Amino acid sequence: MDNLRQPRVEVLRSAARWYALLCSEDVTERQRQDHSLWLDANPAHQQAWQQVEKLREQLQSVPGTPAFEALRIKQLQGQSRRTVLRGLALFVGGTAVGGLAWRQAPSGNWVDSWTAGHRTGRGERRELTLSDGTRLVLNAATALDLVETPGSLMIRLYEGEIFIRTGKRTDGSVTSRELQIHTAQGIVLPLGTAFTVRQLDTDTQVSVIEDSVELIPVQGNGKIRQLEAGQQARMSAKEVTVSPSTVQAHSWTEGMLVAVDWPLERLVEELGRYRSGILRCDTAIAGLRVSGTFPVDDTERALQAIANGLPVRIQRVTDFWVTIKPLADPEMKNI
Amino acid sequence: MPVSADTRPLARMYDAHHGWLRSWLQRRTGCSWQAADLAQDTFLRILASPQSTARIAEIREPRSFLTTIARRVWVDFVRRDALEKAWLEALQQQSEPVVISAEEQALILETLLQIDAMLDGLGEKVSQAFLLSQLEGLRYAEIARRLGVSVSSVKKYMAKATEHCLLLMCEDGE
Repeated sequence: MDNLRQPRVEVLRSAARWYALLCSEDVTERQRQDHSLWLDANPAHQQAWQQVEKLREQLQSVPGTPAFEALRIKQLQGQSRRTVLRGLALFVGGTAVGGLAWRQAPSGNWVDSWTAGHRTGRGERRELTLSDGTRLVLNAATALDLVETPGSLMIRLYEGEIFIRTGKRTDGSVTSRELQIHTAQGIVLPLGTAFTVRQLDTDTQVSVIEDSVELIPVQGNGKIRQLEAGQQARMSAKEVTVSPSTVQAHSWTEGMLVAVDWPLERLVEELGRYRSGILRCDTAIAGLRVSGTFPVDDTERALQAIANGLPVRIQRVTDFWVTIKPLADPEMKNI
Repeated sequence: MPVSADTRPLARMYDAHHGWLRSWLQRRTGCSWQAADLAQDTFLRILASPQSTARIAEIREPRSFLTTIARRVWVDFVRRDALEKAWLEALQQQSEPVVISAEEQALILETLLQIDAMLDGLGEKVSQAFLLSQLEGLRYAEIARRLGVSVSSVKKYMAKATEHCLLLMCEDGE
């Protein structure tokens, strides 16, 4: 079958190339003549060109600018059918707006993160209050887009971390507006709640502080996993792994980083999000266990606290290149 | 009511699983009206496909089959609904009032759905270039500037998008 269709595909490809050339503003008279010759050369060419004309008619039958904008709005909401069909992810809430907004990307950090509507730099934290009273806090190095429609609010998180407390009406009831957070791995649906979502390299991490949320991995065959207050989960594109939340996941919204029996390496990595330049720790001490609360708005103080509490010293190459070394550095002894 | 031999298995499936499908949909959509509509449309879609109807008796996991079809029905519904809302939003954004009859509106939405479905699966820049040229009527040089690519890339995107649409049109026509 494929063999039979092969020539036709080739002809359609040629027709498409001709069309792309003829739509160009710098098409020459000579090229137009060549196109006529191509048409006359073979009835199959004419057949293919009829399809081009049909396509053009279809495109011209709609009012250009609003049609363009409608498709653009729809695309921004990310209704990609292939993605949609992959999972049942859009069985969400009563209204259908919003839909799926992620793309299949190796990580959340795809090109749109550079054009995202809201972003914070390292060491920066920003708070937004949305029209329905929903409180949204962006942690350092975070990028996201907000798509608001009357009935729904969609957040596409590209990188970083957010804290959300859904809005309440003055009478205390939860607003009816549907909220969805889309990451590279799936959708997070809050059920009247406070929670954090963090886009990691290959996972999405969600911690629930109040009430519950639902997690829908993009390739999870429609499986929905509910996460309760005090639980934390990692969502890959295929599945959700739940663990009890061991730290106050949203302490960063108050400017604190809470570590409970973390390897030093992890603490250093976390602190690195809140300062410019390179912050590393020597592999010899990477596994030292550390607990405590560390101010994220003043990482110098945090580093000082680490140096005071552990057998380490802070080595500064420059202010932008800091390494935490063992206190008794074998290299030092050799000098 | 007499039932033809072909649809009897479907009727049995309806009797056995319609209620279940409806409550399954209601759990998912949170809306009983919508669930009822979707359940109905799911069976209509199976009925409209002679292949599906003919093979119903062979289906071992009817509920899994039904939810698969129901998902597709819902996906189409969501697509249409999202596009309709996007269209209304786009209309509101126009500085000049646009007057469109209900009939025209229906035709436009149908066409937009087709265009949207055709462009689905193409890269962001490819479909943008195509729409900017074909709907907004922009010159390639301007499209290149907006997308931050070269004019020759725009030409390639155009050819790629056109080819993609032509292939889909021909497939549908077969």
